[in-house]
Amino acid sequence: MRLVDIQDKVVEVDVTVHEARIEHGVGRLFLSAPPEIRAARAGQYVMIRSLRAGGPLLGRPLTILHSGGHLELMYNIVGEGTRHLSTTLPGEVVQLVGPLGRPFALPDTEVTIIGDAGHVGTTLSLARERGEAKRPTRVIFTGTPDAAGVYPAAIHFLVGEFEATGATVDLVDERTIAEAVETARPALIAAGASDGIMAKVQAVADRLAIPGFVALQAPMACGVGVCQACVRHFRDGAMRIICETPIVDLAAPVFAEGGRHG
Amino acid sequence: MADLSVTIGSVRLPNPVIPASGTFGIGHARVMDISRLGALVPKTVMPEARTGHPPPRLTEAAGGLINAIGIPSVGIEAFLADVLPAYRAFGAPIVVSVSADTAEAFAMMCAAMADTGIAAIELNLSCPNLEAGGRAFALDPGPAADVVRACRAATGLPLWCKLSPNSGIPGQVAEAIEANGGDALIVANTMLAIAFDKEGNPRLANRTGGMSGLPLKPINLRLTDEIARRVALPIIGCGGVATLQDALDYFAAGASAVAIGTATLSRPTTMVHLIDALDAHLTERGLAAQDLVRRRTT
Repeated sequence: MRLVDIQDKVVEVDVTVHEARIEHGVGRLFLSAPPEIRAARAGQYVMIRSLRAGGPLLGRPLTILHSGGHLELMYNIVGEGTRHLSTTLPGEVVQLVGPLGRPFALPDTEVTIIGDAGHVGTTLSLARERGEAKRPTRVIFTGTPDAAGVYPAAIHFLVGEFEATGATVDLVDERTIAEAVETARPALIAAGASDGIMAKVQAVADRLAIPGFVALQAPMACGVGVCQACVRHFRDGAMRIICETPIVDLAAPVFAEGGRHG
Repeated sequence: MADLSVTIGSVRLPNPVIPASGTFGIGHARVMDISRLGALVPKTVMPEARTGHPPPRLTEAAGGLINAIGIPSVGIEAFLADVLPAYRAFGAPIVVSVSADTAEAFAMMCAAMADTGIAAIELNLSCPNLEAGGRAFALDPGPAADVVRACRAATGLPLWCKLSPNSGIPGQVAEAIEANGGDALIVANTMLAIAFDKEGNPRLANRTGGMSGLPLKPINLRLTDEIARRVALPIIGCGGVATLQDALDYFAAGASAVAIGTATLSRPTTMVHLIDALDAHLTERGLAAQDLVRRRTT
C-alpha cells in the first residue's frame, strides 16, 4: 500500500468558532471550513492558535474529524496549549493553518484500526471516513480497566464514537494488545496509539508480516517542515520531522517501550 | 506604493523584511508567496550532514521560544545540489547561512558558494547549540576575526555576520568583524536559556537552548543601538520582530533591515503582512524604506 501525497497548498486564515464542546476530556471545535480545507481527509490536521490575550505563542495540531461545509476538529486536552483551547467560546476567532499532513490510504479491503484515547482523533477520523465510504473496518480500541475489570466512562464514550461509524469494535486491555493483535491477525493495520502500545503492535506485525500505517505524534511548531522541532527516531537510524507525514509505514519508526508518543 | 528597497552594503534588497535563518524554509511557499520577501534565507548549512539534537527540541517559555534544534543539515554538497536550486525558482535574493567548527571549514563553504548566484553569505558565528561544544565564535573578537578573515580570503561574496547576545563584549566583536572584511552584521541570534517542567526536568533534551521571540527584543534592540554607534557596517536587526512597530524600533536603533523568526512560527504569513504594513506606513508619509535607515553617530 502506497503512502498518500501531501497537499501542496496550505492556507492561513482566521476563522470563527461556531461550537466548542468538551466530552470526557476530549475537545471538539466546529468552524466554517475555508474552501482549501474542504477536501481534507482522515489523518490530516490543522494548526489552531488561540488569538485571545495570554494564549500560547504557537498553534496546536488538531485532527480534522470532518471536513466539508463545516470543519470538525478533535483534540485531547493534554497540556497548557490544549487546556487553553478547551476554554474557547462560540464566536471566538482562532487562527487556522492547514490542511497539513498526509492522509491515510483508503483501501477497499478490511482495515483494522488500533487506537487509544490519547490518539483518538486520528483513528476516529479514519473510522468515520471508512464508514461513510462503506469500507469494512474493525477497531481494536485499548484502555486500562480498574482492578475489577471496569473501564472508565471516557473509554466507553469513545468506543461508542467508533461504533457509530459502523465499524466492529473490540475493547482490549492495553496490557494484552499483543495477544489481541495476534489473535485478530489483521490483513492491514492503521494505528495511532502510545509508544508503549505501538512497540507491541509493531513487534507482532513484524513477526506475522502484517503491513500497516501508523500516525505519529510529536510536539509541533510550524507544521510545514521548517522549524524541524517535530522529529522522531526511525529504525534506519535517521531522525525525521513528522509534521509533513505524520502517517508513516508501521515498520519504520522506533517506539519506546512505555513512551507516551505514538 | 512606496519604494521599499534598501541596500545592505553592495546588496540591494527589494524590501527590508527577511527571514531569520533557522525559522524559514521552502515549506513556507505552501502558505505564502515567498518571492515577496526581501531575501530568502534557508536554514544554516554545515560542512557535513548532521541530525541535530534529540527531541524535545523546542518549548514555549515566558512568551517566547527556547530551541535546541542543533543545526540539522544535509551538508554543503547536498545543499548545493538539492536544496539551493529550489530557492532559485522564486527570484528573491538568496542569502545562504553557513556554520562550522573551524575557520577553515567556514572558508571552504564560502568558496563552494562561488558561481551559485546567491546574493550574500551569512556567517552563523553565534549559535550556542553546537554539539562540538566550546565557546561560539561570536563570543570573542579573536575567533570571530579568524573566521571572517578566512572567509574573506575565500570569497568575494558579501559576508553578513550574525552576532550573539551572549557575548559580554559584542561591540568589540563587531569591530573585529568590520576590521577583517565583514560586510554587514545581523544583530543578533538567540540568548542562552533554560526551562523546566513541573517535575523539575529540563524541557529540552539538550537541557539549554536559545531564547527567541518577544522576550529577546529589548535585549537585541539595545545591542543594535550600541553596535550602530561603534561600527559603520549595515545592520539587520533580529529578535522579537513581529509587528510594524517592532521593525520601526530596530530602524530607530540603527538597523537597515529586519529578520523575522519566531513570529513566523506563530503566524506563517507574518513577513508578508509586515511588508504590507511597512508599505502603508511609508506611503502615508511619502517616504521610502531607505529613509528609515538613519545610522546613529552619537
